[in-house]
Amino acid sequence: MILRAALCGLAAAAAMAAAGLRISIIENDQERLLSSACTLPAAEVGSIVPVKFRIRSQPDAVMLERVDVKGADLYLTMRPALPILIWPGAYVDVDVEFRPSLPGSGSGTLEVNDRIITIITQALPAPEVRTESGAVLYPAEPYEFGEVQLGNSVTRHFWVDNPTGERVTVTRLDVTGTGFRAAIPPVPFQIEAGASVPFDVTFEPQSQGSLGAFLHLNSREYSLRGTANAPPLPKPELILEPAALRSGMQGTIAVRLASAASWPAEGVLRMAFDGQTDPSVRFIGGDGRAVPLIIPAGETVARFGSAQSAGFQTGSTAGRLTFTLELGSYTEQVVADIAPAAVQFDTASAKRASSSVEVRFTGFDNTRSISALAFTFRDTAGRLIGSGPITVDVSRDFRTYFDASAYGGTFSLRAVFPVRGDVSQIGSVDIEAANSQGAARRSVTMTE
Amino acid sequence: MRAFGIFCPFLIAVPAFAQVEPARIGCFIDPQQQLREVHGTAGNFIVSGPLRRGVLAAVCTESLTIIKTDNNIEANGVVYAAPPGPAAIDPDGLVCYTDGSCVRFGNAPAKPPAQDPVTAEGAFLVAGNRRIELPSEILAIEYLGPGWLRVRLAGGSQAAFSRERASAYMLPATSLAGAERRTARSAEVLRVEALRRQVQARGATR
Repeated sequence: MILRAALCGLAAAAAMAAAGLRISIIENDQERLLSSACTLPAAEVGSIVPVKFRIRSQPDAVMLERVDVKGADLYLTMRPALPILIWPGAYVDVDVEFRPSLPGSGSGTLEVNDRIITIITQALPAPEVRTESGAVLYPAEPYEFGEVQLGNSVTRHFWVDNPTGERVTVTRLDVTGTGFRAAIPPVPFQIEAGASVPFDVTFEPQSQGSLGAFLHLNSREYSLRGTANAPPLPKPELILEPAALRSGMQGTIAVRLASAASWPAEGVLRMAFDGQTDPSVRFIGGDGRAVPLIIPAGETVARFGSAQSAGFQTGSTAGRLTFTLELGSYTEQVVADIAPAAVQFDTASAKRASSSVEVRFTGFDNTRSISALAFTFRDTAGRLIGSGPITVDVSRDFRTYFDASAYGGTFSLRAVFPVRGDVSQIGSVDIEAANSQGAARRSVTMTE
Repeated sequence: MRAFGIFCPFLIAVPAFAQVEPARIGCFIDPQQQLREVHGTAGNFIVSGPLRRGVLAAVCTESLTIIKTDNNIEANGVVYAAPPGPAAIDPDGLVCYTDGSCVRFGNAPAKPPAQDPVTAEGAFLVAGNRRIELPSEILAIEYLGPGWLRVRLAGGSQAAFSRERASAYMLPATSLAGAERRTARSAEVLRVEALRRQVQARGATR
């Protein structure tokens, strides 16, 4: 309510201060104050000439309620939402385009509230560009070269026509933009009334995607567009090394094409694991489960960084590994089963103390089903100590450990055996670990 | 915890204990001075996320975890004030600071096990009569954990060498491993290491 009252008050003030509108045209980033008319620079038929006007209020605030442009070939392209209050010192811009369509003089108006500025225009006769189909190009309508496969090109013929009744001079005729080249006569040159000059533009892309260029004819700029498609890649093949995988391994996987790629290609190799969670199942590089790859032009083997294969770990859990290659239109897979296996020992040690022996070992159980451990001690002559192995049911301990562990099937076990007697006579220990796949054994010599 | 016993004519059966825990291989300091642990088995590694920041030196063994930050030394989770700057830490627990003082954590081994030197020749790791070719030039060989060495390679990758197996394996990338650069060891660190060699024999004990 207060705002509305304030606006009403200001509107009344603005009505009294219509003369407070100051309208300028922006030329070279400078404001040139207009009184009743402005003359735009002469422009060729077919060109687009942007014009910016600036509206200020001075010395009082002004409510701007109406902005309009009238006249052939003059178009209002941007103005503020109306009404709008312009405070002293503030301004709004209004964008207009002059798009001459016929040669000759003309005029129009810029109307701001009750102020009217006359706009005087001059359209020059100009050559125009004609396509193979006979259509005339317009700056606002891009010319499409269509889809071209990398390695190929397409050439289109164009003509610069002089439809005017007098000789015209071409001071600029060129094509700028990646993937396009033109066969064009050197400028400047003149074209007699009714005559034409041919030229060619070739779309010859070097990279994939939508590409664009500009064709310039004197002051006019035409858009050229084309789409480059990569040629189909030869079928890729995934090569595992070694071909048969088991837990606890580091292997490599390579990507090979049946024949050399004619253009560079990028892809990604992913690794998925169907089994219990195991963070050690991963690629050595990348983020662990995906690595980017490229195939340079002319080569058959993909590169992972600087390497020709990607290293990976099979982890410590039984399951199924699936490598998926996404390359161009191909999605190739290779599957490797990691079979359940007996416990694998990694390191093992046994040390004598004054009245005990300590046995440590590390390893993994890719079934996470260790049920029993057996320790068979021997003396320094290799004779069995005692009546046989000391067997322990560890199923509950390992189940508890694996349930809480974030380390796949790996584990470390430390066991201390108090001894009474001559510890130095203990020479070695045979460790046996049993899981659902059988028993694994490791013999360890005692050290001090 | 499980109870075991050994039965034999000259041994008396008594209870003992067994402990199942993650298989820790060692630890290292990444290029961002963050401590990372390595778990798993040979060729089957899990590199942890950053555990400490601002780490200047560290050693992880079966029984010791010693971490030097700017003004502290941490041993198995207990933090002590320490002279500022880096330190030289031996796997046997001897820590020597830049001011020349040394301190030992844990029990010193009666006789350190002799270990064959492992050296670098370009991209080859030389261990005894074995020459192991790695994917790129070796920048540094460092202690990783008991029986393990960390081998830093050009290009940001790293390997782990197992003394027991005399084999090298690639270590999985950490998210920032690619930023690792060849860096000259600071004069300060070199001075500490020279100092450590001089005082190692005398070895104070904390």
